[in-house]
Amino acid sequence: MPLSIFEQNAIFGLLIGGLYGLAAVGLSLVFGVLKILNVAHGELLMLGGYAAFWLFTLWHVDPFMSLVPSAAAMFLIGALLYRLLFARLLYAPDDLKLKNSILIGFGLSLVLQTAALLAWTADERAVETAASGAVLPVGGVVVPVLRLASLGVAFAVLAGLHVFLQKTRWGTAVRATADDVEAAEIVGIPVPRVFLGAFGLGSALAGVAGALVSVTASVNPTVGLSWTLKALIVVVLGGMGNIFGTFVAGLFLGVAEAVSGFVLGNAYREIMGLVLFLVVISVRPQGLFSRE
Amino acid sequence: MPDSSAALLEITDLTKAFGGVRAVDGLSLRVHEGEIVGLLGPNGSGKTTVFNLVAGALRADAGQVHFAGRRITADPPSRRARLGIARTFQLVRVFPNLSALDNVAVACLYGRERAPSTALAREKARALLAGAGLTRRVETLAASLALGDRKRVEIARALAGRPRLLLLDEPAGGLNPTEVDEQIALFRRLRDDGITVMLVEHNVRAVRTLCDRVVVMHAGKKVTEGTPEDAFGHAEVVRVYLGRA
Repeated sequence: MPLSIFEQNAIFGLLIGGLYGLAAVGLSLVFGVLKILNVAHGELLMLGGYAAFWLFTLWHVDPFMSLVPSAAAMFLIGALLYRLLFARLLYAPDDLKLKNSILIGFGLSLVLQTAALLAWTADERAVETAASGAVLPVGGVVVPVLRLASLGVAFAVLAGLHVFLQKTRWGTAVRATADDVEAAEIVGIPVPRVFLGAFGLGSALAGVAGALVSVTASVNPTVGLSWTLKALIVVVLGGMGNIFGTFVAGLFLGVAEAVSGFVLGNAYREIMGLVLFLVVISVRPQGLFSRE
Repeated sequence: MPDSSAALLEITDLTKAFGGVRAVDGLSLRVHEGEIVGLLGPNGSGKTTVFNLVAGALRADAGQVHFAGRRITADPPSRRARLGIARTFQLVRVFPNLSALDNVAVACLYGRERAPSTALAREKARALLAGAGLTRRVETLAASLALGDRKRVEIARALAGRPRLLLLDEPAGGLNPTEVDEQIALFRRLRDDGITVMLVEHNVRAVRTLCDRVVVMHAGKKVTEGTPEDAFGHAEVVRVYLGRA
C-alpha cells in the first residue's frame, strides 16, 4: 500500500529529525553565545556516539543510562577544547572571530577524525541492545521503539535546556551574554565563564545526540561532517536563538529528506536539505520559525 | 576640602590614547560618597572614555583608578560591577531579546548584592520596574519598548545590583522636558538613598539643578571644576564648552 509506505517514511524522517534538532541546538547555542561557528560540532557528536558504543560493548551499560555521565564527560572535553583552542578568539572583532573559529574547527575535526580512525578503526559501530529490533505497530505503520525513545530523550533534553535558560541564574546569564556581551559584563556577569560553560554545554548536547545516533543508526570516524552540515541546515531553517523552532526545523528536515528520498529516489535525500537551505537563506534568512 | 581617604572614586593621571589621539590625557579627579558630579565638555573631549575606563570597558594606558579604596585599574568590568559600579550607555543598551523583567533580574543576580534565587531576583526586578513606571511593560521584550522606556529599563538595571557609584551617560538625551524632570527627581532620590552619581550630560538645566559639582573637560584634560554656577561662569568653559568667545 503506497500511502502507508509514504507514511512509514515520514515517520522515520520524524524520528531522525529529532536528532537533527538536538545536534543543531548545540551548534546554535555555541554560535548564539560565543559568535563562533564550531565546525567540529559533528566530531563531538561522533565522540559521544563512540562513548555510548564502548560503554555498552565493554561494560554492557545501557546507552540510555550512560547518557548522563557521557554528557558530563563531553562537557569537560568541550570546556578543555574551548580553553585550548577557542578562548584566544574571545576579544577579537566579530568577523575575525568567526573566520578563525571556522579554521580552528576544521583543524580540530581533522584531528578528531584521524584519532578516532587510529583508535577505533573505520568500522561502522552501532549499539545493538535487546530492544533494537522492537517495533510498535500504529495503524498501518510501525514505529521502532528505540528511535521513538531517542526522539523522546531529545525532546526532554531540549525542554530541560529551555527551563535551564529561562529559570536559572546561569541560564539568564547565558541569554544576556548572547544578547550583548558588553552590557553583560557591565551588570557583573563573568562573561569568560559563561563562554566556557556555553561551549561545554554545546559539546554535551552533541555528545547526547551522538549517543542516540549510535543507538538508532551507527557511527564511524567520518560521520562528523555530515552531522555538522545537517545541524547548520537546521539552524538556518529554524532561525537563531529559538530552541523549539530549531527542534521543529530538525523534524521538518528529517521528514523532508525521508519523503523526498521516497518520492524522488534516494539520491535526492541529501540534495533536499541543501535546496531547503538555499531557499530559506535567500527568501527568509531569519528562519522559518523566527518571530521577526 | 574633603579628606582624600573619603573619596569613593579616585582617578589619578589617567591616560588613554586611540592611535595618536589622547582621548584622556593625564586626568585626575575625585568623586566623594553621596555626591552628584557632572562631567562636561564638548563632543570628543573624552567624557565617555573616562566612563569606559572607570567601568572597565577600556583599560588605561597609564594612571590609576581607585574605587572605595581599592585599585581597580586592571580589573575586568564584571568585577567592577560586583564591587558596586553601574552604568548606562549614551546609546541605550538593553538586552534586546530579554523581557524588561529579565533585563533587570539578571543584574539583580550578578550585581554587588546578588539575589539568592532567580525567583527573588524577578520579584526585586518587578518592584524596580514598578518604581520606574513600567508595571505594564514587565513582560515586553526590551527591543519592542519605546526609547524612553528602554532608558528606564537601563536605569532600573543599573540600580538592580545596588551600586555605590552610578555612571550615567547622557541620561536626558532624546527625552522630552517632562521626562527630563522625572529623571531629575529620580536621580535626587538616588542620592538620598546614598548612591553616588557621576553623569555626562549636555542638558544645561539638568546639570544646574542636579550637580553638586562639575568637572569640565577639553581634549582629554580637565579645564576646571567647581559648582555648576562657577563652571558656567568660567570664561574658558564658555569658550570650549559652549563654543562662544
